[in-house]
Amino acid sequence: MSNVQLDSEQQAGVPDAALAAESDSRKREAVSPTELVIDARNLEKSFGETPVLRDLSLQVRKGEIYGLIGPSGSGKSTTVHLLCGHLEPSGGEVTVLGEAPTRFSRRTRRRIGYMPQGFILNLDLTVRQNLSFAAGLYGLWWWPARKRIREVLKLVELGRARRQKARSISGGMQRRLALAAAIVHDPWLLFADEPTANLDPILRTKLWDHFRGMSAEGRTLFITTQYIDEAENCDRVGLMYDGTLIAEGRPEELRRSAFGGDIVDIQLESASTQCVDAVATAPGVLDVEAWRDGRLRLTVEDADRAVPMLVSSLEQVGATVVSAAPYQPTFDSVFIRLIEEHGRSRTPLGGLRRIEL
Amino acid sequence: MLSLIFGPLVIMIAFGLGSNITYPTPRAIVVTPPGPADQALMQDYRDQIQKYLRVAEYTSDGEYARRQLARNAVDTVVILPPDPYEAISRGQHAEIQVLYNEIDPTRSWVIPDYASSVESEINRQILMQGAERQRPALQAASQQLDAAIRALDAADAARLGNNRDEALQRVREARQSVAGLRDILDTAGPEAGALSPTLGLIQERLRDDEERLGESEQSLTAQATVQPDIASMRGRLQSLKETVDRLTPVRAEVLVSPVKVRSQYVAPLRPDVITFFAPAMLALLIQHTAVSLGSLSMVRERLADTFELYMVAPISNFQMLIGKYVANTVFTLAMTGALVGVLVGFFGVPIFGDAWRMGLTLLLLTLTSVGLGFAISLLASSERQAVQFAMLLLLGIVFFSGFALPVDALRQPALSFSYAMPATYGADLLQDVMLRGLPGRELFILVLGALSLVLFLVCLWLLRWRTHAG
Ligand SMILES: Nc1ncnc2c1ncn2[C@@H]1O[C@H](COP(=O)(O)OP(=O)(O)OP(=O)(O)O)[C@@H](O)[C@H]1O
Ligand SMILES: [Mg+2]
Repeated sequence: MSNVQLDSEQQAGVPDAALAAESDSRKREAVSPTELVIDARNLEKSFGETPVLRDLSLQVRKGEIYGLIGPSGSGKSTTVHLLCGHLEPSGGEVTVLGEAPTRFSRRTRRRIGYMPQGFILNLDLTVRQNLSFAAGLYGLWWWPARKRIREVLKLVELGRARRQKARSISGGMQRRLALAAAIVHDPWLLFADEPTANLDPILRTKLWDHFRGMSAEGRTLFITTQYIDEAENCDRVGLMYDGTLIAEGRPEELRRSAFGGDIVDIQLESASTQCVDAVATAPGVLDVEAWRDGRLRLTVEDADRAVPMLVSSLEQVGATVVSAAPYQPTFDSVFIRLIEEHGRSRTPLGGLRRIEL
Repeated sequence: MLSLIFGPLVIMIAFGLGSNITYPTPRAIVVTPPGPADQALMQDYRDQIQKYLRVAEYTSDGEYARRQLARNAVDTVVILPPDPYEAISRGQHAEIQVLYNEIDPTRSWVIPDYASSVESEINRQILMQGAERQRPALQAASQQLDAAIRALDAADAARLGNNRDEALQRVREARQSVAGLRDILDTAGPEAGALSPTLGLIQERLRDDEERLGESEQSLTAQATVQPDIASMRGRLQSLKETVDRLTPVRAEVLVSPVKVRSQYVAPLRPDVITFFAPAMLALLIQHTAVSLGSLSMVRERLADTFELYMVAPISNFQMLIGKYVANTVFTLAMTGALVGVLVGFFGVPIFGDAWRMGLTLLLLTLTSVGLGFAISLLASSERQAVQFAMLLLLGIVFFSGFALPVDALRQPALSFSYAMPATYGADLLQDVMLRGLPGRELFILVLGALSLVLFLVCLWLLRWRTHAG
């Protein structure tokens, strides 16, 4: 793993469910390859002379929702194209469901759903007809297709609009229809390229609910998005920047890696040097920031364990604690920070080294 | 979609109702000679000219007429000769001048054609008038001949009865009749006048006979020579009379135009414009519909992400292409069925040939055209380009598939374009099957079949290329 994969050895002192999973992934080589739905190693892709993807490696296991997050033009769609077999990699290796994407067998193709970023609907057909067409494409017979289409329409809440022309439904509905078309054959593995783009927050939440439901049924989802806050919904997230992954892990791990640990905010009636010293020397505290108005922001190894301990140490030195709680930085700030780090050091894991101190 | 079916129908109906195979009568100014003219002859001219031309006005101002022509206010100017008979009597043609300035090459033959019709008609008229004038003369000539023959018979009888004076008198009468006959024929016209020397000779001989009869008192031998001479003269006059009598009852019209062409139409039907063009129209509409549909079908999908979907979906390029062929072919054939229905039901266009053969032709034409459309849609880089290609092909059919000009009137390189159009084969085959009741050229069926197959393979190859992972 060349990229920002969190290294569990460096976090050995932190027994945490996430890290347990992480050590699983460390033992990836031992994992049976069928468990790995997507396995891409050192992928390169250039269009002519222009390199678009550099040294991209990622693994996705069965039942996972993998979110590929990155700014526009960072190479998300290109990655999806490589994984679906639309493009041939210029370098590196990739297998999806155990096969090279450009040589998918028919059986494998039946198990894959793909929702492109661009437009795929036929505007002159009704919602239902569009779905029938997609079902036909995947070789569903008429009767099972009918049943399945009804289900899928219900799932994306387009049942009422089924007789309307695709032209006459709203952009959000069209997007949901495209999703319905991608899952009409009940795929094991779904590639969705920015499925939530241009949707309102309520709809986005609903779509993510669908995705989580699919994942719960054991399906694997590979989803790209520009909305950083959607990282929360993923089992694992890759942060893509300028054609390569600059960070990858569970969402909370990314948060940690951005800030070097958990964040705890403490509000005191009034802060003193004594107080600051007391918390700075407490075990598991990595960093302290103090403000004049009695507010402290601490970076700690584990917020849940640190909070009660910190409160008691502060009370021992006579301070009055108004509030003390772990602080969840937004993913926006997490990613901005990660990207900044990446730009500054060019060495991945830069954020994590501090934990060793 | 509906416009695809009804558009062609409307065009077809408009074409059928609006097309007119006869050209509009050209407008003319007739320039009559200044001064007095033979009014009867002028009337003849007018009658003839009006058969072919719409005379806008008569004028004696030649300059004015030319100006009108130059302004394209009329199509032609006809200048009548001042005194036709005078020219004829000088042994020259009387000249009718016809000026025209038609720029449409497909119509430039119209005025000269009409002019030469007018010319032969007027010539015929003049000849007929001459011939009509000869008729009474011929009748008179016949009477004169009769009298001469009777006189000679009487003379012979008198001579045998040794009535010399009587015989002499009768021969003299015969000679006078011949002289009268000569006068009649001389005025009857040049052809009749050609007989004059012969008659002159007969006159001479009869005068000789008279003299010999006068001398015959002295010479019996001389008398003996008179008898065969009279008999021979009688013989000649008799045969002359037979000729004249044979001429007299012949109608002048037959005399002037002895040979007349009578053409007879023997094909199973005489098609009107719409019937004649119906097969070509059908071929054109099939090709155009199929090409337009096909050329757009895949461009749109290629430019959208639908093709990516096809690449992921568990269908092969072959299956996909077959599916597209089936859809487009079924649609085009449905439209074709509607068109054939309208042609047969509404316009009464017949189908004399085998329905299966017609079906086969329509199917092959459709398959070829669909393939052509698909090839365009796989090559074009935008919808607009695909539409342009399709329009170009439409122009190609109109110009090269026997619509504007019959295919056999074309030369290379236009001919190559003709035979690159499926509609050319289709139109030819459909015309044979529908209007002539023939099976159509076997070769053309084979060519269409081969074309459709080749185009399918080309499309398959293009599709592979387009869905190939880059
Ligand atoms: N077919 C192509 N030929 C040349 N360059 C390409 C091609 N496809 C993508 N690129 C380039 O690759 C880069 C990454 O494109 P990609 O579509 O993967 O970005 P993205 O992350 O999906 O962006 P967005 O969020 O806007 O969809 C872009 O700079 C783009 O210009
Ligand atoms: Mg994209």
